[in-house]
Amino acid sequence: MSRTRRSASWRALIPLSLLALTAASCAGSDDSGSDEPPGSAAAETDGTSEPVEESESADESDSPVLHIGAIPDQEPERLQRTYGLLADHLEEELADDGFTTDVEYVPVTDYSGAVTGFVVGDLDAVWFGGLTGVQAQLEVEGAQAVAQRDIDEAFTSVFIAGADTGVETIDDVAGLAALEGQSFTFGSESSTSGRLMPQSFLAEAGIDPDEDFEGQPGFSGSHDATIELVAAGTYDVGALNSQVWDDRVADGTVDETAVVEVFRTPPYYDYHWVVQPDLDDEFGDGFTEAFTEAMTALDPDDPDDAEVLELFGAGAFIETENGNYAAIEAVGRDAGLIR
Amino acid sequence: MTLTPRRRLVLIGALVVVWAIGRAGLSGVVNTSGASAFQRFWRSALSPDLSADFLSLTIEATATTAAFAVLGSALALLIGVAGALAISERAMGTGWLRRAAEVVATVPRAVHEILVALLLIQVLGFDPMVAVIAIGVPFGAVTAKVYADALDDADRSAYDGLRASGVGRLTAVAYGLVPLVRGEFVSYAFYRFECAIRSAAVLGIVGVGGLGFQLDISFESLRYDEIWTLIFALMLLSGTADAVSSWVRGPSGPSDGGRWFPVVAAVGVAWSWWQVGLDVSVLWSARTLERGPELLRDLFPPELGPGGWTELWSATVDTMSLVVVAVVVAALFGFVGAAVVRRPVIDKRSGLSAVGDGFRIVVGRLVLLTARAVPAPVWAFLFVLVLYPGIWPGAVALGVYNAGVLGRLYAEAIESQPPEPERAAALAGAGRWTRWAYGVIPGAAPRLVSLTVYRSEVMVRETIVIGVVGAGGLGQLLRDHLVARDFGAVMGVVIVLIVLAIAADALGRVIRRVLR
Amino acid sequence: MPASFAEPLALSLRDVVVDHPVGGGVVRALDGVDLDVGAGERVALLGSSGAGKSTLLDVVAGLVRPTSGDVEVLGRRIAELGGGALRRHRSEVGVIRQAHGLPGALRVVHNVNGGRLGAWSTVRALASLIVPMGRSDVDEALGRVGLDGLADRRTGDLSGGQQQRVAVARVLVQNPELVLADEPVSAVDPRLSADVVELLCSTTEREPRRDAVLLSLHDPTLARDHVDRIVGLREGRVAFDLAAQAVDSGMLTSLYAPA
Repeated sequence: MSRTRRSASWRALIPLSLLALTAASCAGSDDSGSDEPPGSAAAETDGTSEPVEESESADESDSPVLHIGAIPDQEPERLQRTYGLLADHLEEELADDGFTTDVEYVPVTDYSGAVTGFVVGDLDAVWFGGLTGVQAQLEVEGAQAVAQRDIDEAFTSVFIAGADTGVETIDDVAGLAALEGQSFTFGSESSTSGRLMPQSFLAEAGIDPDEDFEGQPGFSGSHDATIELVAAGTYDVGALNSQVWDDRVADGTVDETAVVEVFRTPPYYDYHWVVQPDLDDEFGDGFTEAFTEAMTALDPDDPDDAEVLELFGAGAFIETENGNYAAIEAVGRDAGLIR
Repeated sequence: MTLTPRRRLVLIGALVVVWAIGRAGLSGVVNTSGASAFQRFWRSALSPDLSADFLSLTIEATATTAAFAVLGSALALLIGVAGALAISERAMGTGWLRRAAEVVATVPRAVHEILVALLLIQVLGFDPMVAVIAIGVPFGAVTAKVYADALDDADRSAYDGLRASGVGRLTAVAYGLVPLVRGEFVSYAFYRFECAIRSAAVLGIVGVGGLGFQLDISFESLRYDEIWTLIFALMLLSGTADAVSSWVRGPSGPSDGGRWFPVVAAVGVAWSWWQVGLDVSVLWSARTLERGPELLRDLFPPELGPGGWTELWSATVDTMSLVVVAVVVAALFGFVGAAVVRRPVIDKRSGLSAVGDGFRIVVGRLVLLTARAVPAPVWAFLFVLVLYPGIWPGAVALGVYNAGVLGRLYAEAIESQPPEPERAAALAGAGRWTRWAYGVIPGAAPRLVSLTVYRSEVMVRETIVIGVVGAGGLGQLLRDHLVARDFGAVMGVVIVLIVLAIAADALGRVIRRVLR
Repeated sequence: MPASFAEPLALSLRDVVVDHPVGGGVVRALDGVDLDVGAGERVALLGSSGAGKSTLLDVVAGLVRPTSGDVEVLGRRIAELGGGALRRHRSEVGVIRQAHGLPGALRVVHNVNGGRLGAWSTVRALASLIVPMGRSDVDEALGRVGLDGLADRRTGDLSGGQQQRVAVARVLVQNPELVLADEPVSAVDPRLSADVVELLCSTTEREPRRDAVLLSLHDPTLARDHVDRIVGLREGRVAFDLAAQAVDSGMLTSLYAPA
C-alpha cells in the first residue's frame, strides 16, 4: 500500500522537475547566446533577465551599471539595435572621460512604463518624448533634460490616410476639420507626436476625437503600428511622428499605394534625454556632463557614430534644458495629460 | 400569469441584457476594413516563429511566467492558511477580532491582480516581487475565505472531542480539523495555481517579464508569427497546469491527503526563486521606504479626475454594460463549447462514430484552451482590429476569454450528471438537440446558472484588465489617470471598482438564493 | 454495590435536570437524576436511544450545564468552574465519544498525543505535529492496546477496531482520573467490542486505584461481563442502579420497551 502511494507522489514531481530541467537548459543556452548580433531575440532576453543581473552586480559592487531606457515608440527590434549600439558608444566615450561603467538598455512595454522606471530609479537616463519627459521632470525633483536631436527643436507630426479613403491633402491646421467622420488612431496614449500634439491641433480645428470620428479613436501603441493599421485599412486616418514616417518612406517599407501623408503639423519641441539628478553622486563628479558630451559628440563623419545617428534619424545631438519644454507642458495640462 | 421570484429574475435579466446591448450601441460596431489584419493574424497561426533565438526566448519567458505563478501561489497559500485561521469561527471564536479580520479580507478579494501590480510598480519598479505580491495577496484573500469555510464546515467530532478534553482552539484546529481538510486544501491550492498561471501571463503585460511581456513587445511591432509562438507556449503551459490540477483534484489523483505536497511545493518554490532571482530585501530597501509613503500620499485622499462625477458615472455604467454583454458572450460560447467537448453518454446505437467524436472533442478542447490561455488583453488587442474601440471589443474579448473558462466548468458539471435521463430520451427516439433539451439541460441547469453567476462576479473584477488596453469603461479611465500620473484620481477609480466588485458578490448571493 | 463511604467519590449528581431547547419549546433530557460513582468503580449506562445517556455523560464532562441540580466531579462543583479552571478540569477527564473522532489523515502518534494536548502549550502542540513529542509514553500506550510499532502509520489506514484502540491509547496517555465513554464500541465489530471495553476498564487497574470509568453501552451482555455496576436510564430518569450481576432480563426488557 505504501509503495503505490510513494510512486503517486513521485509522479506529481515529474512535471515540475521537467520544467526545472527545461529552465536549466535554457538558462545555459542564454549564456551561449549572448554573443548573438544585437537586435536578435537573444539580445531581448538579456534585457528581460536584466533585474537579476542588477541585483547580483550590486552585491559585487563592481563598476556601476548605467541603465538607459527609451519610450517604446518604434518596433522593439529597432530599439534593441539602436540602444545596443548607443550603449557601446556611451561606454567608450565615458571611459575616455575616466568613467568605467557598463551601459545597459532596459526595454519597457509602454510609455508610462518608461516614466515609472525613471521615477522609481530603475532607469538612470531615458530617451523620452516631449510629454513623458515633462512628466519625468515634474516627478523627479532635479531631473535634467540634457540633450536632444537637432530635429527635436522643430519637430512635427504627420497625419496619414488610407489611399482609398479619399481624404485629400490638408493645407493648414483648420483644414483638419475635414477629417470628421473618418475612423482615427493615435499612437501611444502618452506620445507627444502621436497623440498630444495631433490632439491639440485637432482641437484647434474644432474636432473632438471622442465625438467627431467614426467610433472611438484607437491607440495603436507605437508609430510603426499606426502606419501598419492605416495601411491595412483598420483605421482611415492616423497621426504619428514625422521622423519615423520619413524614415520608413525612405526605407521603402511603407506601401505608398496603400497609405499617404495628408498633413504635416507646425513645429514643436519633442524628444530629449532626461537623467537622474544624482548621477554625479553615483558615478562620480562630472558624470552628467560627460554623458551629455558623449551624446553631442556623436559625429556624422565617423562611420560607427553615423549609424547611431541614422537610427535616431538625426544629423547630430545638441544640448537642451528643462525650460525648452514649457510649451509642451502647457499643452499637456490643457489636454489633461499633466495634472 | 403570476410572477414567481424566479420568473421575475429572468425577466429583469433579459431587460438588463437589452439595456446593456443598447448602451454598447449596435451601429458603427464592426470595422470591416480591419478584417485583413485580423485574417492575417489567424493565418499566422500556421507559421509561428520557430527560429532558435525566438524559441529560447520563449522558453525563458515561459519559465519566468511559471515561476511567478509558483511563487504567487506559494504566497497565496501562506496568506490563505494564516488568514483562514484568523477568520475561521472555530479557530478564532466569534469575537470582534475575527469579524474585523473578515472585513479586512474582503478588500483584497475585490481587487484584481493587475491593479495591485500597476500600483506596486510605482514603488518597487519592474521587480519580480511585484508579480509575486500581485498574485499572492488577492489570491491569498480568496484562499483564506475558502479555507476558513472548509474548516468551519468540516466534521466537527474530532475537534469537539479535543475541545472537550480541555484543548485550546488553535491546537484543536491543528489536530482535529486540519488533517480532515488537508486534501481539500491541497486540491484548492492547485486550482489556484492553475489560475495563477493565467494571471502571471497577464501581469507580464504591465512590464514585469514573462510571456505577457514578450506578447506585449511582439504586439507593438505586430509580429504575428512571434505572437503565435508565444500563444502556443501559453497554451502548453496553461494546458499542463490545467491537466495537473485536474489530475490532483480528480478521482485518480494522489490519495494520501497531500502528504507529498510539502516536498513538491518546496522544490517548486526553490526553483522559481532561482529562476526569477527573487530578492525579498527590495521590500525594505531605502527606495521602497521612500517611494511607498510617497505613493500613499499621492493615492490619498482619492480624487475625481478632470471629468468629474459625470465621467466616473458614465465609465461605471459602461463597465456594467460591458460586463453584462461579456457574460452573455461567455455563457453562450461556453455552453456551445461544453456541448461540443462532451463525451457521448449514448451508446453506439445512436449512430455517432467513435472517431468522429474523438476528433470533435479534441478540436473543441483546443478551442476552449486557446480561448482561456490567451490573456484577455490580447483578445482585446485583436478585437480592436475588427470592432471600433469602445464597449464591444472589450466585452467580446472578456467574453471569449471567459468562455474558455466557463466551457471547461460547464463540461465538468454536465458530465457529472447521471446519464439516465438522456439515455431515456434517446431511447424514445429523440434527436440530438431534443435529447439535450429534455435529458441534459433540466438536470444541469441549476449548476450551470450558479457557475455563470460566480464567474460574472470574477468578470466584474476582470473588466479592468481589458480596460487597460483601451477597451472602455473604468479600466480605460484608470489607464487615462495612470498615463497622466494622477494617482489621486487612480485611487478614486479603484474605490469604485472595489465597491462594484463587492456589490457584484452581494448581487450574486441574492441571485443564487432566488434560484435555489 | 454502592461505593464505600471511606473512598472519595469520582462523581456525584443530585437531582440533575437538563432541558434542551427544541424548536419553540424544550425537551427534558434528564429529569431528576441522582448518581454516585466511587473512585476506581466501573459503571455502565444502559438505555434506548434518547434515554439521556449521552446528555448525562456531557453533564459530567462539563460540556452541558444542567438546568438545575448539583454536579460534583472529582471533588469540584462543575457549575463554579470557568475559563482556565474548566479547561484544566476537562484535561483530567478522558472522553471517548460515539464517533471516535480520530482524523484519518493524521499519524497514529499525533492522534494518541491528542489525549494530552490540554496539558500542552499551543506552541508545544503545534511543534509536535512536525517532530512528535512524548514518543515513549505513546509507544507504551500503544503497547498496552496491542498496537506496537504502528505509531507512524496513517490512522485512516488502520482497521476500525485498531482505530478504536488508538482512541483508547489516547485516553491512556491522557492519564485521566475519570474516563467517560459514550458508546465506545457502536462502530466496532462485535468480536472486538469485548476487547475494547476490557481495555477501557483496565485503565482503573493501575495503582493507586482511583480512576473511575463511566461508559454507555448498547449491549447488556457486554456490560454484565465487564463492569461493577449498571445504571438503567429511561426517559431521562434512573430506572435501576444495581450491581452488574443483579440485573436480570426482565429489567432489561422493560428498560428497552416502547413507551
